[in-house]
Amino acid sequence: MGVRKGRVGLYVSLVFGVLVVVSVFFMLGPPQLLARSEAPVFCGGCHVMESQFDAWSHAGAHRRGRCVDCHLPNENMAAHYIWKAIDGMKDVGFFYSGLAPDHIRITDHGREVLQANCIRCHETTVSMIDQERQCWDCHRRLAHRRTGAMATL
Amino acid sequence: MKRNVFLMIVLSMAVVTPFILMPACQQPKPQQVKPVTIADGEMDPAEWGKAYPTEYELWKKTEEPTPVGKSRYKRGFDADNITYDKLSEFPFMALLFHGWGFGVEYNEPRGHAYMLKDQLEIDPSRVGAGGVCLTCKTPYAPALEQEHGFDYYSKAWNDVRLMIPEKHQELGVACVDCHDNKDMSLKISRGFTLVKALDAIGMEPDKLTHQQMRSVVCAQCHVTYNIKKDENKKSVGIYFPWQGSSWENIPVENIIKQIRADETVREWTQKVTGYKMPFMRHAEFELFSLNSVHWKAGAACADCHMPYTKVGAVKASNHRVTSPLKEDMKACMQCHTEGAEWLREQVFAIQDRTVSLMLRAGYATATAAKLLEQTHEAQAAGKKIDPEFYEKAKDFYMEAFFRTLYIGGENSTGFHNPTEAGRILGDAVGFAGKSEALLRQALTKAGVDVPMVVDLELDKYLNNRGKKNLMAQPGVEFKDPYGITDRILMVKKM
Repeated sequence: MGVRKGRVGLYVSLVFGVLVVVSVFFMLGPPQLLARSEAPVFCGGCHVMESQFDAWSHAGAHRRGRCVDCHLPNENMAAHYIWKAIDGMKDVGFFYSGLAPDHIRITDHGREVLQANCIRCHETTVSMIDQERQCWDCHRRLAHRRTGAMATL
Repeated sequence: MKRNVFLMIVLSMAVVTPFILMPACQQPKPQQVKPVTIADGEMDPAEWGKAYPTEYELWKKTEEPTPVGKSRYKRGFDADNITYDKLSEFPFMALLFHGWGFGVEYNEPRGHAYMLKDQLEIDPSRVGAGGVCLTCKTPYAPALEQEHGFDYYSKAWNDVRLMIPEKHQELGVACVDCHDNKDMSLKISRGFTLVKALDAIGMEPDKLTHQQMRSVVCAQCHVTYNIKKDENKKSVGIYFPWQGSSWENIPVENIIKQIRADETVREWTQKVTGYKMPFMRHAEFELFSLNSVHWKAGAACADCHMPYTKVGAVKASNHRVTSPLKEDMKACMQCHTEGAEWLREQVFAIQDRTVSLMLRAGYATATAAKLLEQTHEAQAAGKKIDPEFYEKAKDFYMEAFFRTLYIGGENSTGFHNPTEAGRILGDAVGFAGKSEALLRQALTKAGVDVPMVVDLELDKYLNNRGKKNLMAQPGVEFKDPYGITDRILMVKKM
């Protein structure tokens, strides 16, 4: 029996190992799923995100950033990929259920993430001022709906 | 074997975990250099300045006047070195305030750096209430109030001022008025006024967010307040009339109700009508926080009056507190995309309309005051005035007077809340007009002939004021930009 049990364990770890290898291949190998899913074109691939994507692609300095640079936590990779999975699945759910609203608005959690990312890059600039105040309350053109391109959509 | 599988999983986790937890971008957090710690109870801004040089340098700039012509209606600290006489700017105020300090000398102020010096220079009747007048003029006020209690309020203003350490006897608002010395966080220093007032509206100071604090520290002084008097007319206390109101909702109606009901705050006697009255001061916080568009947009006082400003690589709150108009609309352009000229025109348009209404309300109230004077003279001469008409007219006159006073004293010429200012002044016009109508009828019934144009005798009130014999200042009067007030007053065209 002991031998059998050991065999089951071996199979399980083999399957696990194969899965990891296959996943890593898909993520980082030729299909490059990880890199692809980080690209703004991927986020803009769903029609509901089209207007946000267009606004961003015509906007100023932040054109150099990607969606995930602002909209996912970036303080460490664990938080980043966990929220990438959660937010990604949520978006899939909303999209395929047809429940995505016409005017997509940011959630409270999304605001926190966004604010932390503003501070991450502009840390020195804001080091002497209030960091609770949401940057885009004053810098209103940062919001996709106010960048100008949206006006025609 | 089972152990092997377990080991494998643990091992692979041990390899992966540090990798995924590695911070994406590991830079040391920039921290402000603090070469000194500020001792508890330190009042001297220069000492605070050693720890916070950027803010200190900006604060010191409040000593410098701003170029002429940036603001249309607030010229108090223009570089032309003229002291603008508010009574000459709005002559109806000379009539209404005749009988006490405000009717003697009432100047446009020079701002934070000069607040105590301005008190030293003005006619002494303006500080007649005593030490209580220092409440918002010196950072030592909370300590003086705590130490001396009744004496602080009632003793002569200069005697209390001399209790301040000598080198700070002319010091205006300082760091300690708004900040905690430990971490520069915002702090209410005037518990004896504002904390009590917050209590009256059911707001716990600890629950205020940082953004709310950026308005509330200003509300320690930029509010309307009343001075309590004892039977001997001595000042015994000070409070903000917020009873019956709530956070973000301190309407003028509640304030008027409170101060008319409280007999201990009858601070002065209006000469023209002979009425003992309370008074109202610059209710900036009350007007702004009452559903104004900028308050609802989440802006705090500091966002417009101390906007974040680039100083080298960092941003700092601009401690040169002033009107956005005088800083070339920089504060506005942080959120608004339009240019400075466009924005300035919008502000002026709002203020022109407010001034037009202020004049309409002011002169309507002054007219009612003069008719009350005539009524009292008629009564003294033995004429019988219908008491029902008289009481209603008096009540409406009071309602009109306080509304006129409220917006007249508020320092934004309507901008802090344009529609509310318009509503209040519209009500003042309504009350004053009705009061005038009732008095005209009552006087006519008593056999007194009232002329079509009531002579306001403004020269009498504007000239030879106080010990300095102040005269009307030529060329500073604000005229109705739309000319309507003159038409209603039936001023003859020269």
